[in-house]
Amino acid sequence: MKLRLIFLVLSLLAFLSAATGGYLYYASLKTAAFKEAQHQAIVRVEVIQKNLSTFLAENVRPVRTLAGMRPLAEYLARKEGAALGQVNLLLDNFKNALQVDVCYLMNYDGVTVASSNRGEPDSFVSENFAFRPYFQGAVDGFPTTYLALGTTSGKRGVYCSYPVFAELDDRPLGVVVIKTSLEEIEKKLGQSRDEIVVVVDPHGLIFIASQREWLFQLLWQPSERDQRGLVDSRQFGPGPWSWTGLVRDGEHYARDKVGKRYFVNQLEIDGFPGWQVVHLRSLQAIYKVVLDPLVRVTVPTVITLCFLVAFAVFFLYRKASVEIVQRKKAESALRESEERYRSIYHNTPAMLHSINLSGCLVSVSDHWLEVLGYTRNEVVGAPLVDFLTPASRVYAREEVLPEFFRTGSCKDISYQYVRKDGTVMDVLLSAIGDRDPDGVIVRSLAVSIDISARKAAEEALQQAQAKLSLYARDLEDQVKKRTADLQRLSGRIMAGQEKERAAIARGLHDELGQVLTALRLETVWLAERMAPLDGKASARAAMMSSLIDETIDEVRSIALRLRPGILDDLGLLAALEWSAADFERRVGIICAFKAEGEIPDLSNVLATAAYRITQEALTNVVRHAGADQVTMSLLFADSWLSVTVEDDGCGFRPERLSGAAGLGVAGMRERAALIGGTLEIFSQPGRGTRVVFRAPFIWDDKA
Amino acid sequence: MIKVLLADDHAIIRAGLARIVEESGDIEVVAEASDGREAVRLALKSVPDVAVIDISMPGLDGLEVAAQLLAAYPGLPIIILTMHEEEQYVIRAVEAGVMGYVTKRSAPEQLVAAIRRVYGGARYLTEEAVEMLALRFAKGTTGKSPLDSLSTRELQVLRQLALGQTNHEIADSYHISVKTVDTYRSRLLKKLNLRNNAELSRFAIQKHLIEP
Repeated sequence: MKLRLIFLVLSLLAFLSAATGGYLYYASLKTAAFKEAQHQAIVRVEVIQKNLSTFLAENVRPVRTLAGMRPLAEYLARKEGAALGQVNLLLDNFKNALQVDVCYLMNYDGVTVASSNRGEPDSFVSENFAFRPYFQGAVDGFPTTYLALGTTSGKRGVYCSYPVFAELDDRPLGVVVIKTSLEEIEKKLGQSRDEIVVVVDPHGLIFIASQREWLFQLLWQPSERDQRGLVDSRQFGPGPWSWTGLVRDGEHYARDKVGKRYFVNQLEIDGFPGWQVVHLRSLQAIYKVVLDPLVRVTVPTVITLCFLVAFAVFFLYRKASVEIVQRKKAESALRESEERYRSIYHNTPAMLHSINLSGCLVSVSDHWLEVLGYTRNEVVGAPLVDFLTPASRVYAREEVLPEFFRTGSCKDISYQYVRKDGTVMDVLLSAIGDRDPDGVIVRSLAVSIDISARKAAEEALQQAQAKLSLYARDLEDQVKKRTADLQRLSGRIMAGQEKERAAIARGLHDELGQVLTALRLETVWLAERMAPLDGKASARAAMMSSLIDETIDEVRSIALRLRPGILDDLGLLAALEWSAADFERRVGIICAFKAEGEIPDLSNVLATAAYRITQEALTNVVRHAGADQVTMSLLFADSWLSVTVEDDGCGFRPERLSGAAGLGVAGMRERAALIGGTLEIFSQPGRGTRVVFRAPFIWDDKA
Repeated sequence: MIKVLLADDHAIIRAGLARIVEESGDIEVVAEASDGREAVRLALKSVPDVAVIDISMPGLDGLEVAAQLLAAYPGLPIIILTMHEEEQYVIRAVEAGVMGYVTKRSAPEQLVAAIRRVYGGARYLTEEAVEMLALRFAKGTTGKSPLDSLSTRELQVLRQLALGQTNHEIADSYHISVKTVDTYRSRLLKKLNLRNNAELSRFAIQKHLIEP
């Protein structure tokens, strides 16, 4: 609204200045043109005056010449008839030569004695014009030129008189006159109604005028004396003479009856005292002359200028109003967004606040107040840290705030607020910095999330976890115990199994084997004894012997499979050495055995475990590996026994072990674990398999 | 007459053995013991020329008995008589200082010869046992050897080849096919980085697998 007003005023001012400028331009042009017109008028009146003077003086010289003609003087002196003819001839000659109205001769008394118009109706021969000033002047010896109205012709004329002197006499005999009509000169004055040129006599009577109707009127308001003087002069008829109605209006102006104004200039005619040329120039005409071109020039200019100004104003106004509309829209959008922001800020059920650079709160959301129980007046302007617990306060001052003002953001800061009622509330605070156009942080926008419940839940969870872990530990302990029990049990079972196996094997091998061996001894003996006596019986006995041999082999093999006596009799090294050779013999896969280190006497359990593991490994080689060669090695170093069975077979992925092989491996592991050892299997498809059993030598053999 | 001490915890066997020995004519069983302690006691009493002792007996086992007898009578020829046919036992027995080793199963055929042999001051061992001993001594007990990477059968084949046996002969003695022997041979050459049988022999001699 304001801007619109400003524009209106501006446009008005612009228009005014354009108009004023135009007016001033117009006025200065007008003044100049007017001055020029005045100057022209003055020049014109001077020219007219000069021309008039010239015209009036035109016949001065011819009339002197005429006056000097002898016949005239002779005629006036002798008054003889013959001489008149000469005079008339002379007058006629002059009239024709000079092309004047009339030439005539007057005697000393003022009677016209001869004239060029003697035969014409308006002839004034023998009339007396002694009253005429030109006659009076000439009679007195002074040639005179005079303007007057002809008494017989009624025509205005210029009378040039010259005295006619007799020889040797300085008294004039008469006067000769040449009269010229004024019509000619009047024609030259022009007919324009806007420019009136008049010649007035000393009384103010218009004698010559460019306008006929002006003739024989008094130019100015006549006084009684003027009227009387005019009558007395007898130069212009009997009168009365009317007044033109022209009134002086200042030095150079006059106004006529209808109020038309004129610019007036007057000059006295040389040689005619009191006679004046008056030049009246219609002001209206001057204006017209001056203004027409002026208007023609200035008006379009001014109009164009005004139009341009108007256009510019209109254009700017449109521009401005568009801008104003846009700005208004933007403002309203901004206002709306601000309102929305404010509404969101306050109505969102979240704890929002902003602090300034000095850490004081500049705004807080309704929810913030609601949750902490303060009023807005208590809070705004106060430092944020006032609402924190001492620990949080220190944390905020020393770490969070400096960091925040440095980076412009912080996330999930764990604070504790103190409510108005003194209770403590756990929150997570996240904030971003609001920056000014230079990028400097001016305030924060922070949101605090109440995590009291979460924290409580966390604590509960922690407690539950602690309890659970206690249970778990307890359970673990129990499991461990049970596992140990089971292990012990398993160990005992295994040991028992081993013992039983050993017993059976020994029974088979020693008892049954011995019996069979004894039987063989007997049958062999029998066969030998019977050979010379009864070949058939001897052969029978030999057959028996070989049957017994087979049985012995069978029994041996069963016993060996149950538990090789060599393990008990000669120890692990011998047992493995034998086992390797036996494996090679039985299966056909090359099996190298090597031992490193001094192998001490091992406990039965350890030896058994190692032996059984190698047997299981060898079984796996036969079943799964498809190997060409197996290497079994026994190493004793640093009180650790390790047994390795390595093949060059197809290999497998240990992590994908399952089924029977998996069970077998699990069994090996269990055996290893029972004596505190480990079992590792290294294998890759195509890279063979290596089974490594390691166990500490020191082993309390309870089983 | 060769005086023999027989020690075996099995009476039937003891009887059978005694009969075999006595039927030889030149051998006389002077004492029969049914366990290790008795064997030691009787040996000290009767002073036999040869002691034939079962390796597995209650009380003292055969090797222990042999050790005690050798301590009492250094040079006493002892024959270990056993049910065990694994060569490892033979080695142990030889280490213990016995002169002969006879399995009970082969006793009817070998015992008399063994007694006469050891009485004559020589060893009596089976061909397998001799070979086993040779292999064992060649490998040694400690230290690394190129032979470590060889299996028993490979060592056996190596030894036989070094001794100049043909593939056929080797196949026969180990009850394996000729083709298998050939496979063993080429593998041996590769493992030991050798080129032919002559180099194999030289290698075997170097390693004391065979006597030159």
